[in-house]
Amino acid sequence: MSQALPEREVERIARLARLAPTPVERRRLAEELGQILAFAAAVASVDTSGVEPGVDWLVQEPLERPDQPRPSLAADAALANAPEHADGLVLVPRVLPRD
Amino acid sequence: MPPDLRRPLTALAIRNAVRAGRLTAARACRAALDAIEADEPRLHAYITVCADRAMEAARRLDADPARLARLPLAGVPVAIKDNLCTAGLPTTAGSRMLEAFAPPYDATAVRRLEEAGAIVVGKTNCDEFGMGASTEYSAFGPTRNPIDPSRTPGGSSGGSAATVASGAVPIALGSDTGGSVRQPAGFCGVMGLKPTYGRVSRYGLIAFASSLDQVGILSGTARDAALALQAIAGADAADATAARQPVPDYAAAVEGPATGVRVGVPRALIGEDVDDEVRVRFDEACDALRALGLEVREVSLPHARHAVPVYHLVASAEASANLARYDGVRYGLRAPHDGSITGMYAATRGAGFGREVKRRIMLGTYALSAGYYEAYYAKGQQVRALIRAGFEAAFREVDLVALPTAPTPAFRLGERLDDPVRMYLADLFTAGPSLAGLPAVSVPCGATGEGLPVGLQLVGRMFDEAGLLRVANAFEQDAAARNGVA
Repeated sequence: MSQALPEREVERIARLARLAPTPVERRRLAEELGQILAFAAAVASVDTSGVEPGVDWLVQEPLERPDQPRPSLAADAALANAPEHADGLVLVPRVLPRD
Repeated sequence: MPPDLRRPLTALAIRNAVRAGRLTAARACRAALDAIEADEPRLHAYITVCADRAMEAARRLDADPARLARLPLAGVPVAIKDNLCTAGLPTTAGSRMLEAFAPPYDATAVRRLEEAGAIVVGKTNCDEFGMGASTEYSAFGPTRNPIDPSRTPGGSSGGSAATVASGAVPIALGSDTGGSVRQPAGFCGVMGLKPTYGRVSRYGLIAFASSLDQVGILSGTARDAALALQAIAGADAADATAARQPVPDYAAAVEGPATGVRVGVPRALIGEDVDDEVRVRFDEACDALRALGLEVREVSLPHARHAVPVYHLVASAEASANLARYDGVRYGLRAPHDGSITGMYAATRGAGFGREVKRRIMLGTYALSAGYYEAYYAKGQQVRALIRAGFEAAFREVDLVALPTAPTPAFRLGERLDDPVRMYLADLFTAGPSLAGLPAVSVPCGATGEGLPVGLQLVGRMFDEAGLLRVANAFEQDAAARNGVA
């Protein structure tokens, strides 16, 4: 019996992840994700009643400092890796539709 | 008399010679660069070698002998995994997405090593964004194991492990999320330390899984690991998850006796997945620990067998969030696209990410999506808490837990590329301590009949790197004495 995920599921997740797999990639991902999820399925049977999910042993008090302005990353350094920029701003394709 | 640079020197030997004026930082740097140049055609351990930058830094150090004499890592050449930011120097994380990216700042761990006098000679090859166990998922080609170049060096810090194993540099930084420093250390026959979560700042470490990532150290000896950890450990205003616990004197601690330390072995975990020769070397290592005066007994870690699937659910979920920033907007690749913003995202992420990274983003997105969050991510985090509790219970009876580092020795290049689940099982013994946030070290403990290195993994209590390194040092000195190595 195939463990593969339905391809519609693969499309749904790909949309959420901002990925656009080709049909070949979609089929392969369906198969591979199915295998991985089957492998992870054993976890479902573990008795976790009363167990808090989370990593409280890693958590510390928040780190604070006085709210005083101080030098930060200079604009030209911040833009040095930008694919397209002008006038101190990063340029991207239009986000909002034209009226 | 200057040290013989034809033999690999420890960091301790280099810094002592440099501080005493018997060796210049420039000579030590030149020797490292020459060794790298000789090895690279065979190993491909590096993505970037920064010879000019390194020699310039070495010359600056040599020009200030008063300052040089005080630096804890004076003149020590070090390599840095390419997912740690180095200002002005390409930092690719092994990915096409960041192929042309040069960060505007240094990672804290890198800055602290350089402030301690270390010289960065290059950026090492790694699995893309730290996701892998063989360095075969690097977008820039695999690294080969120096012991057997037909085999992988492990991953994801394969380049760092290989360059230390080849003797070119005594110390390299890596990163470890589910085993990515320890496992390549085991495969290459060097020491690999993953500190307690939070012991080392993650500022400038390109994020994979934020509750698991740690900067780690590859080295030839425990004393060198202690030296490096001393330099990089400690609180950081730039990383709110960096622990504020005081940093002990690791260099002093590493020399202490290991007698009386109680070691627990979770026998039930070492089952049929483990290679026979790995099992034999592991048993011999336990005997060696007993002969050193440690107490070795059995412990139970009932939920640790779920560590690999739990790790992949949790780490992939966190990775899907962390890798959302790679969208072609502010830095990194921006692929040709249809002129729409969503088209730009999809084209960029399609062209910039490799297969394994896409697999993990998809798995993580699925585990976090509506309708599946409870069953996958929340459940994974609950089982994680049980794994942690299992270690805490064991540490009421013992001081360290011992396991093989990996179930097999280094596998051949290409062997597991078509079997992602089999590749994930390389993390069988390393994922549990990662999930629990515990410090762990892989120590060389002999080799298979074919000469392939085998690693012994020691896991300690939170912030007990001193205890780990003390036992690692005792084991290492004892093994060297038994093998007749100085």
